[in-house]
Amino acid sequence: MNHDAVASQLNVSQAGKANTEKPKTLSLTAGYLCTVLALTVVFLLSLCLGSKSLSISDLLQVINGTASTGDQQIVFGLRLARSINGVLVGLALGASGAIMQSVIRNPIADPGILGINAGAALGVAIGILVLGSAEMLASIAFSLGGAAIAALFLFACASMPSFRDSAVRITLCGVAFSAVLAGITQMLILSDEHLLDQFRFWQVGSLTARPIEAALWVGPIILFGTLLAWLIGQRLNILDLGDESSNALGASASWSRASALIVVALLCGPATALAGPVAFVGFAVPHLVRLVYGNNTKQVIRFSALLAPVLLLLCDIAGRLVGNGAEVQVGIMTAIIGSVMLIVLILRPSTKKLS
Amino acid sequence: MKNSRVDKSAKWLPLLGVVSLVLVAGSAFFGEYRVSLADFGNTLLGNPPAPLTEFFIMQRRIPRALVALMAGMMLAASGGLLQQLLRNPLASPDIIGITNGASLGGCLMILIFGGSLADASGGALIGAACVSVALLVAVRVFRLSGTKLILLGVGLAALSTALINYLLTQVFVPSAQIAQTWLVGSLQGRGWEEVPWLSAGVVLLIVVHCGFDRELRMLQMGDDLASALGVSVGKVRALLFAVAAIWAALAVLCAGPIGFIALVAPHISQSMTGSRNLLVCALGGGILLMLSDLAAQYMLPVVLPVGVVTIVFGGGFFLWVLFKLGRVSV
Repeated sequence: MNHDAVASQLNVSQAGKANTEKPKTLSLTAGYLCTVLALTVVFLLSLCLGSKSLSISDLLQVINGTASTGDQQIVFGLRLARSINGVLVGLALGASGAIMQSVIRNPIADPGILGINAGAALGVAIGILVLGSAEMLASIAFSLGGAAIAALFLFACASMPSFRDSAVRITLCGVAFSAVLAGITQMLILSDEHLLDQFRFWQVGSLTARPIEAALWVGPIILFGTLLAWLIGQRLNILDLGDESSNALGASASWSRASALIVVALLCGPATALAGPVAFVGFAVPHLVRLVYGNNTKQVIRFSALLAPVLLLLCDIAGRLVGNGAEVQVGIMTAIIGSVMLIVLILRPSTKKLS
Repeated sequence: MKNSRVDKSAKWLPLLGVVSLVLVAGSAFFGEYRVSLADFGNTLLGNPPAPLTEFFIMQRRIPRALVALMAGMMLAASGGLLQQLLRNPLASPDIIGITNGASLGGCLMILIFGGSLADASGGALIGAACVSVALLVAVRVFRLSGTKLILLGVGLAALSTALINYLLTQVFVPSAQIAQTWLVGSLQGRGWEEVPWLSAGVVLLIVVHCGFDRELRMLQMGDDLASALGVSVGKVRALLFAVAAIWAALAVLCAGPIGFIALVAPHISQSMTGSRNLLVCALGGGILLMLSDLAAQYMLPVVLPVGVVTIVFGGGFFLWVLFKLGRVSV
């Protein structure tokens, strides 16, 4: 406890110093440059590595059009689509995880853990059941609806007085909610053979499940959502001060929450439609960012959005390489890494406020 | 006070026993294959009218109902015991990861050794034991308690599930199929093979109920008071924790990871009977699982795995408990 107090004082004094000398903006720019650089490198690696790995010069040849048709096919036919999918899904999950952790005031919030993705999946199932087919556009619309309803339920719970004080209780609520939604989805799937056949492809949690055209539909929505996430960071920073202070400063707390809800739904629905359930990315990345930049929500959202694709693509590459030809789906890799992080976070003695 | 409590559970036990017998008989009588009442009676007495009748009633329906009853008993007893030991209404083997650990262990055995039920049982027990030891260490060393402990269990559960999914992608399709059907939490195709395992669990339940009733009631009053009254708290808790893990592993072994029965049954039995009697709670869980299985078979035009039904209804109940708890603490 003493350590915490001293540490926070230190932080305050350092922040004060930073404001006077202004090295902080410099470090922010450097941070953005580093993340964008990392993202580019990982994206290129994702094009190169796999069960048939290419060197950088091979990749250049492919881009010039002088490589063999096999290599062309591997890069443009297979790896480009999954790399783009990875970037889009990572953007969405990272930004929405950071937003949820701030708005629900809960370090364990994640669209996968709390059931937003389960809501989107249920939406897709209902869509297939109603329309009889899994057209991309309809699926996106239904998954958006499902994610929005699930997010609405969670945010309503989080603003109830009995849940607001307990970060853990709202998490358990989300876990149970997620289980119920998944159960209903299973029930629908198992009772309709046609639906089961269509839905198998949604359940995988993989970046390769969709064709490249899907990314064209989903990409604009996710990019728009990411832009909104980028912009509402300042409002959420003010919301972190508490409802009353926020209202007094002219940023209506309920309006901030509502806009956060819309952004989360805009991000998670399409991401689930694109990649299926990919858990724990939105949980893990904001914590890594906070290790560097502290609890500044605006920056946490921005850096999470940029870093989550890096983590997701790394997991995807690892999944390609560890299996000796048999791929491990990216959802499994992120779940293993993320759940270990969750356990470490709970066991760390400094997380006293997690009550 | 003590007398009235004993009276209460003594009144409920025969009632629940009769209800479960009626349910077993009912599940044996009804089904796709129709039997007349006279034929049914004759089959039970040992002279069936046709081999097909004998097959459906004696080899299919009765063992399935017995497995449902006893697996439900194991789950509910495990949940009730854990809720008392950890003094937490949300503790149950499927939420704090013991069930998932058992599934992981069992899966490992099936996938590596292509194993039979006996092989899987060893794996399930080891898996359940690993998770229990991790949780006990968290209680002892890290001084975790309350909802934080539950959340640790949720993390362990997620980790086991992810590892199971990884295993399933790494093996040949046939063994993956065996493991997958085992992982759904279904009573389809369960029979006499499972009954001896579960009976052993029921015997253990009666032993614990008779031997540790006093200690459990004292642990309810808090660790300090219990040790002042002569209970060696650490030992008793570790022992009973192990028993709860064994029950959860047995249920997983014989019926797969069926969710939420272990959480819900103790709450229902406590609010109905007003006592925390383990036997009453276990019988309640058995009845609950039999009802869920009947619903899973006949509610929709297709037969669902029972695990799906318990997740939907049990998960809803879990949410309700959370809301109620929230109101109480405020």
